[in-house]
Amino acid sequence: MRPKENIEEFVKIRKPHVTTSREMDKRTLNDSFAAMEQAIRTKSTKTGGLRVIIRRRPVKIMAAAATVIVAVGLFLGRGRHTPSNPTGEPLIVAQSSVKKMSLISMRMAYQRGGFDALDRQLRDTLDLMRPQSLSISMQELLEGVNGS
Amino acid sequence: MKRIDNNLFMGTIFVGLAMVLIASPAPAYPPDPDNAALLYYQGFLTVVELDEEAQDRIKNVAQGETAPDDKVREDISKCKGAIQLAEAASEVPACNWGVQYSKGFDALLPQMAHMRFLTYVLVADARIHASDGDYKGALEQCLITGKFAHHVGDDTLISYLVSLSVRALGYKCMQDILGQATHDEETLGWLKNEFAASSIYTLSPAKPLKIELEIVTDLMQMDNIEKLARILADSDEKKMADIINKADKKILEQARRIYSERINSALTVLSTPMPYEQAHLQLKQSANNFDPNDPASAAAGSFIPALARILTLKTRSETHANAIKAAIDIYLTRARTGRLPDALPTGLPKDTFSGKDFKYEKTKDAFILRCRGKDMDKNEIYEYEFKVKK
Repeated sequence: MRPKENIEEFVKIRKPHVTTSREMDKRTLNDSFAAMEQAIRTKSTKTGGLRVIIRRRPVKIMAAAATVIVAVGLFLGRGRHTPSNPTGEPLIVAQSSVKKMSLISMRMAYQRGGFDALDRQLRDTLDLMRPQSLSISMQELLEGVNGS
Repeated sequence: MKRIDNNLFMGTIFVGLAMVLIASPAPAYPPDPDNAALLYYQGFLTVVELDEEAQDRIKNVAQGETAPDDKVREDISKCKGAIQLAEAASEVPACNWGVQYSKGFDALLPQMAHMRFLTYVLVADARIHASDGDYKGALEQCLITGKFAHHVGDDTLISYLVSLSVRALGYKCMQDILGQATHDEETLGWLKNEFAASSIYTLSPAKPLKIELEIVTDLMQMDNIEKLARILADSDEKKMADIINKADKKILEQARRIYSERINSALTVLSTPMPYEQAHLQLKQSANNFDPNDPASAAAGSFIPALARILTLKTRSETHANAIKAAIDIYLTRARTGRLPDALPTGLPKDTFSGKDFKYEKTKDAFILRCRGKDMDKNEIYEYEFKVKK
């Protein structure tokens, strides 16, 4: 797998299973800023611009980027140190429904079971992803506006 | 003299400005969307309060399995916003669903499920109109499903299949309603013209096959081996690792070649005028005979769709449309002469399975149009029954 995909895959797969703490967040952020600063310093001292730096230090740059992405991911996840649902079921549902909406998933459903299988998959997708916008009241919609 | 000139100059400026203001009044509001998909998306968002039971009720009415009752009328009344938005969308020529094709097979198509349900809503609404005696309103709604099917498009094979299913549901409803509107020559004449006009919107499986050819050949590269392995192994980690270990440039090159040859041969068949039976046979050959023990052949085979079946679905859709066109002419004869013709009038659209005229059979309820050629996949001969309201 290419480095970029490695990072995406890592964040996608690992993030939900990491239990974080304030200390860990801070440490991760510090590490990432340090890595970034180092990368910037390297850029300013070397000649040849960004292309040269990327060519010479791809691992470092990617590591810094990975750390930043993970840090941001963890940072955004603060306040959710204990999962609201310990079974992780909603996550599974969300992942499977997104998967079901992909072109390849529909295409393979058709490949395996013809139009009936595709129709079942479309129905399942609708059941899983049904939006709830009409059930939101105006009060809920405006929650947070003007302190209400 | 100078003063007169000045006055003339000022007057010209004043009149010019006034003309500009009158001639081009700037609207205070932005224009309506020029992309039908934006209206459909809004429509999808307004059919949210229906539970599974309500969805089933709507589906059953749309398919003609049950007559509309009070419950389903209430369900459909909750979808009026979606229906109005779909009606407005059908008038907009351009439709871009905003699919991220750059993501290849990973592109998400959440709209497909909503399209399917919106079709049920539109057709159930058509059947409610018909049961209330508003046949023209019902037929108008069926014609909207035709435009919607065209908007669903044929960019992907899935879009093409969903589009055919939207069309099929609209045709079935039209077939059932026609019999109730048979005494009204004016409505039948109007429908004949409208249906003929809507028939210019034809979709083809060739376009999605060309797009898939591009996506799959791009996927069958060493750079994308993980993604390819995930699809081929259906996310089975062990199989996936095995594919990654065994794959190399040469195998993938062979797989690309086999896949491209088969798809190109299918595209040639689809673009060459030939009888359904002959095309079906050739497409079946293109989609079969892959060696499961040869990794390149097996990989290519995994991405080849059931080409012959797709041809059958296309042929069935065209045949159904032709049966309706023929039936409208037969009903028009009845409306003019007071009785159904004894034999099929000449020059009517044909059964595309055989390329010949439909077999016409008068029944106690009205008539049947029977195909002369059969569905080669199901070994079935289709017939279209039309009834007259007693």
